[in-house]
Amino acid sequence: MNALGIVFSNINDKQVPEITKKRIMASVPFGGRYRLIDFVLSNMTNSGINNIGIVTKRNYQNLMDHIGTGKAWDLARKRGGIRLLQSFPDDSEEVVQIDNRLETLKGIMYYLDKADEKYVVLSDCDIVCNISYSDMLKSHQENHADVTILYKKNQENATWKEKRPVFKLDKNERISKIERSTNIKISDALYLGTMIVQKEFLKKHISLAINKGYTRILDYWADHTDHFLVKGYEFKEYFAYIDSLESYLKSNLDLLKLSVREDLFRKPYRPIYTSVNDSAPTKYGPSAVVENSIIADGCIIDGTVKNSIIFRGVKIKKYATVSNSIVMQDCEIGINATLNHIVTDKNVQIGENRMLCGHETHPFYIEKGSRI
Amino acid sequence: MFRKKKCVAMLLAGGQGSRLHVLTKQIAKPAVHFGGKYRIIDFTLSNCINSGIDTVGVLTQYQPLELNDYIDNGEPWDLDRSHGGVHILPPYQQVKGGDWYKGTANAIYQNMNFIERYQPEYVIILSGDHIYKMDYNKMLEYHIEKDADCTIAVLSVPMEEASRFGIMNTYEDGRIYEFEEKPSNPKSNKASMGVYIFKKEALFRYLMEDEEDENSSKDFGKNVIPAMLYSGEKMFAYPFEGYWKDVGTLQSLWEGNMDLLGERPKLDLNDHKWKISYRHYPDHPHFIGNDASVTNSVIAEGCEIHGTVINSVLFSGVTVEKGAVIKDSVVMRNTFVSEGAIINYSIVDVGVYVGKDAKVGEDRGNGGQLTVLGSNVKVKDGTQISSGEIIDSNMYLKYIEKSHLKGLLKVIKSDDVIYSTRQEREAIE
Repeated sequence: MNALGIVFSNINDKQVPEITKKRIMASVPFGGRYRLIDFVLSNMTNSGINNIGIVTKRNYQNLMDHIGTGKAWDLARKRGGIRLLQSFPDDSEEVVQIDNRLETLKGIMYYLDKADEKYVVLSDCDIVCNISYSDMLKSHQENHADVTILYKKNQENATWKEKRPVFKLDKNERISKIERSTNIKISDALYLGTMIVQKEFLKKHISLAINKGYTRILDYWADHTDHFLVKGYEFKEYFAYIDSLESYLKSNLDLLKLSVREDLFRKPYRPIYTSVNDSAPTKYGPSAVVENSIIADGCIIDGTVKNSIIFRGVKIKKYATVSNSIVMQDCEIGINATLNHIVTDKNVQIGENRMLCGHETHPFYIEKGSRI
Repeated sequence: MFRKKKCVAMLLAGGQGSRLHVLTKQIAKPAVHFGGKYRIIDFTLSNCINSGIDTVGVLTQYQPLELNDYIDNGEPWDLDRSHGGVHILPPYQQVKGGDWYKGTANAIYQNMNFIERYQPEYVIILSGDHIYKMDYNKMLEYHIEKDADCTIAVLSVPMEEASRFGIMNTYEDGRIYEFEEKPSNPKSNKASMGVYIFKKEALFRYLMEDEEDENSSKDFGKNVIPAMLYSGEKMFAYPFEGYWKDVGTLQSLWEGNMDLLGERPKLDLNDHKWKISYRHYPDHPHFIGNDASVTNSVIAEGCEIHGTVINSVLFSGVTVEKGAVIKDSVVMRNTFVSEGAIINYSIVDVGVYVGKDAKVGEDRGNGGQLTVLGSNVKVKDGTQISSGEIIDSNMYLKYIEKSHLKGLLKVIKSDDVIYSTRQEREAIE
């Protein structure tokens, strides 16, 4: 695929302050063994994008640990492969914080200049889906579009914490208007944080947009829908936005549905890759009771697990009960402890007989490394 | 330039493992699946890297394709090195003609040039068909301390089983004075584990001598070790304590897998100090459904469990539909078990399809025997596979329904089961 991938690793970090306190959005754990960036990277490598730049801003140590050389995604390459990009606005010695996407893109112009690819796929990291960008690029080329933006027709009325872009489309899938709203109604075309543009076109318009005082690239496209051919590309399969702890819990628990697992993980030739750590397969003891749960490798389960997502290396002791919860890597749930609607971050230890309870709409979050 | 190494490992992985029957029909024994995620060779390769041995020659001969693919550049074991690393060593043609590996000793003899490149003082000979976690470095230290020409790792086995092994008879200081292969009246219970450390110089000398001897069967156990003993070389037994299992037979392979189960499993794979590495497949974490019941089992990633799993080891990507029961069994990668099917006391190889309400094997409690389904076998709905059967790969099994099909089908083994390959089946339908 003749395209370059640009991944924004900490867009919207602030929306889930709990889990992004010690990590950036890209390295938020998801679905038992993944981190959010795995989906974007796997989609790109499965679509044949071999040259990927990950734009970083905040402390990205945990992201580097996760990605390593990019081997897990078959992206440890001499030509192309994964590159972490720091965005500096100019050559001055002061460190200037960049907080908008246009400035960020301007800061990585050196990377765009150097690449030979004709197109650029831009994607955020707060999304979970399994998509073929090659199909999207094909539609972009066939329509001779200037910009192709991914959207999904909303299935149900939803309320978001922050304003979300919503498109008005004409019959030919041409975007005529972009609005922002927190309330999204059924069959509204919701922006999915992904777009394809021609590289030269993008480079030209980054500077123009900045000169005109824009901060958001989407606003710039929105105000110029008459001048440019901005097309929408509908995505019909499972898609999740992580914009709050509540939606984080919900989209994790979505994996308990077979249709969602099929959409995300069981696409032929499009597996989701992640870094590997040689964990042993999970062992269930004689007293284990497990219902409707996703369980990763390396766990030792002797207690009861219901409607939950259990990450790698978790130990659940005898008589303990975990329900409707997310238990992240290497946690230990003590004998006879009870967890309901809880999100425990990594390395949490829950002592014997503890009883913790949140609610579906207000899950209770336990910080990384806590002892309870 | 090759960097000098202290010790080079030579891993014998060419054996067929014919006692594993259908499981090794298309793959070499070291590539046989084990323990939910592993292959047998993972244990030896991980032992090497965990012991600080980073140069490993893997001698392949029998059905090497899948084994070669699996080892590849050695990256899962951190053996993808610029200096050393893992090397696959198949038999090859030379000026004076080429030959297959005629025995374990001949295999090493033919690859002396590989060892010589690294100019090691010591060579460790391993075999790729045992399940164990062992620090070879400790054994090497012992070997150096004793200034031995050859050190053989031994395991204390129950005296009544000693006649099944190669037994080392030693003095009190561990020096070996006699080696007996499967003695009827064993004098000791120190069984050879098939792990040898040699001084390179002594190894080369005896390999060359052995090669000259036309009557020799070119085997370490039968020829080289006895010859060294006869000449009075310093040979020591290194006592190993811990789990060790030869999974060379279907029964022992099944037992080895069962050793992972229980509250205190005999073989603990959750050992962070001695991780066993393996090649990964991109599978999602497994899912256990509402109607599922899973007890005392090991389950790998990518599984979808809606039925009952008891005392079993399930490899990645196994699907168990509602109402299906898997008990006391080892079920390998990508097997599909349909609704209502029962698998009891069996080993099921990769890619098998078990149809609705099919019944494979018989409960151990009812005197059932180990049943084995080879890779890609298809068992039709409602078919019963009696206990003790070993079904060949790619077979399509069903009751005889249409008599006119009979002529096309290959073997009729028992009264109600017919066997044919899948290609033949496709030709019929």
